[in-house]
Amino acid sequence: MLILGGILVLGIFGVGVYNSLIRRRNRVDQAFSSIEVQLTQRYDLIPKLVETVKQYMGHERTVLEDIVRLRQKAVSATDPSQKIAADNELTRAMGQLNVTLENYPQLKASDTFVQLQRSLNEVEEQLAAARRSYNASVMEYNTAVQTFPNSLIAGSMDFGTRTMFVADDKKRGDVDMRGLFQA
Amino acid sequence: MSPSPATLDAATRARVQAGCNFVNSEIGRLRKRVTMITIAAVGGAIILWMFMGGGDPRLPVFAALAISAFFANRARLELKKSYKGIVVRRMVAALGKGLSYTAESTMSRATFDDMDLFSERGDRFESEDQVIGKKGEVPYALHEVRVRRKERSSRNRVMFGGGGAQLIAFGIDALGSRSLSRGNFVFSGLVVQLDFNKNFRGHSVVVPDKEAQILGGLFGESERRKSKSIVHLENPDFESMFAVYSSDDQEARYLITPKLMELIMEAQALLGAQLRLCFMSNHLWVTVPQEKDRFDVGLFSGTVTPESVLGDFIEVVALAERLVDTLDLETRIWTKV
Repeated sequence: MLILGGILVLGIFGVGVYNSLIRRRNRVDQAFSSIEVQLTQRYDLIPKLVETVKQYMGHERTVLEDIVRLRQKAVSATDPSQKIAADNELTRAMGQLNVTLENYPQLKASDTFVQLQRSLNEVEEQLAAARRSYNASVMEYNTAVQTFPNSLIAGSMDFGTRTMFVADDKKRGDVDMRGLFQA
Repeated sequence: MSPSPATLDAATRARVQAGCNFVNSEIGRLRKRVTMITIAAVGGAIILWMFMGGGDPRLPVFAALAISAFFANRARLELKKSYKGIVVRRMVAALGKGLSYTAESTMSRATFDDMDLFSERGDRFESEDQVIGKKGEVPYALHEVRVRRKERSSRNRVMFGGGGAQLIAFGIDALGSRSLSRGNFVFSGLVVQLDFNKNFRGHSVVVPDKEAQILGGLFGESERRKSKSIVHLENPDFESMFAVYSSDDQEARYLITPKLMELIMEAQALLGAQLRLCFMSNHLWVTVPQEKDRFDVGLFSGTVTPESVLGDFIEVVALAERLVDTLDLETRIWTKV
């Protein structure tokens, strides 16, 4: 009787842990999908931005070509870690573009450019929020997976840890885009 | 730039001074009237007590205090009307700069409750003194708000509802200074409404962390707050000072960026008051507790001068402008222009 009771308690505990891990993993997936939504918006805006600025940029077109290439790479990335890496590269290239654009003050007179830049800033800010949201979910999930006694169930049920979005060293020195809005 | 005494030219200063002189003469007249009534009431109470053949003096004393308090309160309201209608209005009109002032506030109880910044709802809501202005391109409005709770005596009797106790309280308030006892207030201070620099749809609140721990842990959160989830942010200093609840955790992170967290802490340190923030209807609402009742004058609170009126006004306007600056709301690089 005592043994049966013990098994029952362990069973209930195991189901509870399993369900909580599933809930956390789903939250991570949900957070990642909202990053993808923002990334899609960003990918949609980039060609428009490139189209608008290319007529002003003569010999510095390689920056634009890089962006187009990296965008394509990011769009075609399938698994989350590939997407994270491609996104980091693209973000770095966008930073370079912003530095370059500061050399073209005539762009500030273009309503289309200003509107695009505002939309892009909005998407970047939303993207940053989505990444922070994702990282918070991943941290919660990873902590649950790695701590005892959850780790026993997580290990046997194939709950692996997830990768966080971390800004790479080059990205950390990113530019402040507000310079583009100052007259 | 905040208005300063130097912004008043001689003619304007003379007009404001004339308003102050009028209010000061009103203070003298009403003070005399209240003193006379108090003397008469006390005298009447003594006579009544003598007619009663001595005994328990509580009834005549209470009657004297109640009569005196009633007239003191009437005098206070009369004075308040003159002060706000003449002096404050003239001062604001003189300052120009797009500022406007009304003695009535548009802040309603429903809006205050919708902010969901206080777990306790309070029983009586008062709002007055609305200042509207603009810092750069950021419109703002300030409202003086007081939310009181009912105070119950040991016999569980509601005290503020009416009767002599209220009259005495009003009388003391009218005779004394403009500071308010905070013991009975859920909130007393300024509500600053600022146009936020980003568009948003959800509802997020930033409240003191201590309150979240106590109320969340022991008594349960307010019904409204239950429809929001707590959002844990990355800054440990911010997390130790505030708790964030939101209807949309990603939107809360979009609004409360790491930079804004720093700025909120900076604003709290700068103003030296416990701030509560609400992101609602594309606006940022900040409550700043203050004991002083601004734009008001007591019967015995001293002479009104253009400097004292302007000082109060400058402090209020500077508070809104400091919030706009400290929270960096003039930066408009997103889709909201």
